[in-house]
Amino acid sequence: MAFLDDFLFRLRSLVRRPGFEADLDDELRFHLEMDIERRMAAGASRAEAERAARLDFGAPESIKEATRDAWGTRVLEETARDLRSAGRHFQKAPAFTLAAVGSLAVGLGAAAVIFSLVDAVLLRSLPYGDPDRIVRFWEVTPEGSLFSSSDRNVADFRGQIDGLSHIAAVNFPPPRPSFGVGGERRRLQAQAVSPSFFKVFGVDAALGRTFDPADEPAAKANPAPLREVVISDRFWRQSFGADPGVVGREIELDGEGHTVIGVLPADFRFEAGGDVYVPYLLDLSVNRGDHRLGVFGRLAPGRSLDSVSQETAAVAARLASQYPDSNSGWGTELVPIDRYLLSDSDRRLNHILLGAVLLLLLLAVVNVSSLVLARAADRGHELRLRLALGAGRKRIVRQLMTESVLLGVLGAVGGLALAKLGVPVVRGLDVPLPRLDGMRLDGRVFAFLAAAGLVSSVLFGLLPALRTSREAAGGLSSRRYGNDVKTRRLRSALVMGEVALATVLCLGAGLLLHSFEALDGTEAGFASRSDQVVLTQVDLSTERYPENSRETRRFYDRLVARTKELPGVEAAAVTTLMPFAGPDLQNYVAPTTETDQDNFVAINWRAVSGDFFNIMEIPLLRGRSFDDDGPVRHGAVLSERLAARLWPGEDPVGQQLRWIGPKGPAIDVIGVVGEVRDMRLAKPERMTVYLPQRVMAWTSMVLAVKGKVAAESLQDSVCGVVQGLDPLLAPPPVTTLERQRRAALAQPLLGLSLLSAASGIALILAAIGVYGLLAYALSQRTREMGVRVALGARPFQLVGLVGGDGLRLVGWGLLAGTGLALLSARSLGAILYETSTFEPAVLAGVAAVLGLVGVLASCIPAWRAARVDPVTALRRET
Amino acid sequence: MVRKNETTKPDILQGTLDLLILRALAAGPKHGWAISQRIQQVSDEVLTVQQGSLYPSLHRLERRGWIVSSWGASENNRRAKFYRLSPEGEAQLDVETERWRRLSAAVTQVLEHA
Repeated sequence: MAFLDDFLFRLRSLVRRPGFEADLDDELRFHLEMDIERRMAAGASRAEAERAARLDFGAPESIKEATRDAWGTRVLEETARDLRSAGRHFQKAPAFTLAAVGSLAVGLGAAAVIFSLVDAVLLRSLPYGDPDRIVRFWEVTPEGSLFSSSDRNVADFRGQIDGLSHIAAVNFPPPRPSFGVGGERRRLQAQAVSPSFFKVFGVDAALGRTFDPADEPAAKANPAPLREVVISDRFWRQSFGADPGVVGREIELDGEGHTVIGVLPADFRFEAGGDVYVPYLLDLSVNRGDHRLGVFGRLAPGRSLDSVSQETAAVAARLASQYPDSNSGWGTELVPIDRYLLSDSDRRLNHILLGAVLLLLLLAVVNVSSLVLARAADRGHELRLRLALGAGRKRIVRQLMTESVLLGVLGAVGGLALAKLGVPVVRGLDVPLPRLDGMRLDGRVFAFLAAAGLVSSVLFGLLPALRTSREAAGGLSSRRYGNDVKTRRLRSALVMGEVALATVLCLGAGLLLHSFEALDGTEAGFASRSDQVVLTQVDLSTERYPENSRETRRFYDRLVARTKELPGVEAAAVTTLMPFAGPDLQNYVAPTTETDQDNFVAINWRAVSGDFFNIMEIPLLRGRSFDDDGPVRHGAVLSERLAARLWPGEDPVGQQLRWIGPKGPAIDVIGVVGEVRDMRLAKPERMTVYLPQRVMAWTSMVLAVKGKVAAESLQDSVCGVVQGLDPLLAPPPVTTLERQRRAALAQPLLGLSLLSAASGIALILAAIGVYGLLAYALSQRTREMGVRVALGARPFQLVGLVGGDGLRLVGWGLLAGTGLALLSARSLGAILYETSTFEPAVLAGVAAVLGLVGVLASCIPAWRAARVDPVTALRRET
Repeated sequence: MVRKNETTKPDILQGTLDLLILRALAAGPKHGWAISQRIQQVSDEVLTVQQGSLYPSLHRLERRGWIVSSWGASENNRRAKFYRLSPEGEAQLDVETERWRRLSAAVTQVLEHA
């Protein structure tokens, strides 16, 4: 309450200010009168008494000032006055104000955009309940790679592990059911998840309920499907107009009715996302060696990750001895969910971007600091006068700081406006960064902007304020205040610092550019740049088209045959893999003579139809490809390196390989093809086995069509063929090889673009800094230039003099920046592709760019120096 | 501001002045002049209160709510601002007095025994 009283008193004295002033006058006058009367009573004359009393009383103004202090309103009033005077100063110096507010706005705006990205992707907590208790439960293959799990293993883990309160499986690949509404069909993104999935993630429905774990009481073979769905907030709004009555309604997916039991919270996201979540019930009829379930678990209360990891390892060892054929050598690994969702390289990219934000902010601060210093030096006379008239140094510093904070606020407002433009642009980029769609200008970004603006204004204001006030304290007599050597050195150091910071950012961007070009230039081993190859993801209903069934085989046989007949189509094939998107299938092979599982080679495999190699332009080096018609025959096509590894020096065609393990099936090798990089451009290629699609007839396949014409014209007719074969299918998404390759490059491109934008801004700020310093120094040296011209200096010598100053600044800054960059380069190394952190070409390029910036920034001041008229210059006072 | 007799008359510390003002007002409401006179007389002219400290102190004490002011007629019938202790001020006076006693006793002890 005392605080409130105090505040009310201050407020009252501020509002009723005139009354307070008059009262104070009366009170002091009364005191003086009483003193005079006392002195007169002691025998002094009225005049003497008055004189003595006034002398004794002291300066009434300073008493009043001290008393006003006691009211606590003085700070407020002075601040208001400072703000008004700052406004006047800014009006009088529009170029300075524009440069300062502009650099701050650009620096803060860019920083805010990058911050909002990093915040959405990395910093913001995951939209799950107690996310630090959620783990990704991996199985680990005998040679140590993380792997998905099988139905029977999950059932055993569930039964035997106490340390996880819930274990949920997610079926892979995620289904993409066709959703029928009002005669139209739409392809949905779905996730097939265990009923306990939402318990693992600690998420409740916003409307209705989620699945009940009790719906999966015990795993059995071929469980009857549970026809319930939980829908996402977005799907609810898009397709049901956010109707709360949707709970309990029946919707049709792949021709089957499903009951909507709940709507998820708006912020819930899971991996690639899902419009609908359907229950996946463990199926014990599936072979224990068939690993295709992603597993997630929630740590039981009171259990640590370490203790549960030990427990799961023990269970895995028990299963290995119980089922040696499928589980021998397999282990487990628990990975915290945040580390699973954001890969190390994504995380690293975000840290680098955060670093760029800091550098950019620092650069803006240094730039404005240098501008403010120059400006304050120009105002030395005014400040000196104020000091002479009795203003305290503290008071001067406060006035200068008020101006800085005002600049900071204006800059932050400008930055906010720029961020408002920038955030939707970055968010709209189609980049596979998790949670990028959550990027927005919210309270957290506002808080960041406000804090950054305030901290920067204190940083850029304090140094000039202290310097200027100290300098001004030197007295009115010293005339060359602005040219004070120390101030000039300080400014030079600041500008060099700017160049150094810009150098660090440019080197970073240069390395990313080098890395990106190396990646972009990588030969994938197939026609990855072709826009004549159209790819169509076809997703059938697993119920009507079971895996490896006659229906499925017939569907794809007919699809390939009919597509080939389309006008303008040269060839058509199907494959399990959407290039650069997955799924990446893994297995083990060895010659049939091999009996030790440990000697089996880990490979990628794809199931493809006959024309696949032809369409993709993967060279067929030996043997032949698969048949598209006739009897269904097994066979394997190997990639070149794998063939050489399994049968060195022998002809692989005609040999037999063993699939999965020593007890797996034997398959005839019928051909050898070139190596490809069809999943990642960067990753060193793993060797590949191709199997006939007619043997491995999966429900979801990718149709690859090579056209004689540009791809776009084929899209509609290809869709027509797909829907003509099954009217329940939704129009499938269509893309091209080149577009897939671009998408694979989207993420490195995002990092490159953001860092390049930051570097561009850094260069502009540094150029402003160099230009400002040179122009200012020249204005101080006009007289000197005049003398030089009068003594016979040629214009080009003056140009050299001024330009040399500029280039020297840039040179030192460049050197310092390169040193700094090399010190911090290791952090960048992890995300670089075929690029060393010390790349001479990049260094040279950055040096050239900065040199150019130095020349550009110096040329106007240098040109002006060359045109100095000695007569005018010498007549000038300063 | 140069103070007369600076060498012989001790400076009054801020907190001490507050205490003296509160004590002077404990005897009854007074205006500023009367407070300064009272302190001067009671201290046998050892302590003089400068106007430059007195009025800021009075206003500060009023802001804290320890004293309240009202305008009234002085003994020579002039308009004067009178201050009196508030209940909080009375409590504060006890606190401050006790603190001062302890402090001065401690200082005395150090002077005699250290």
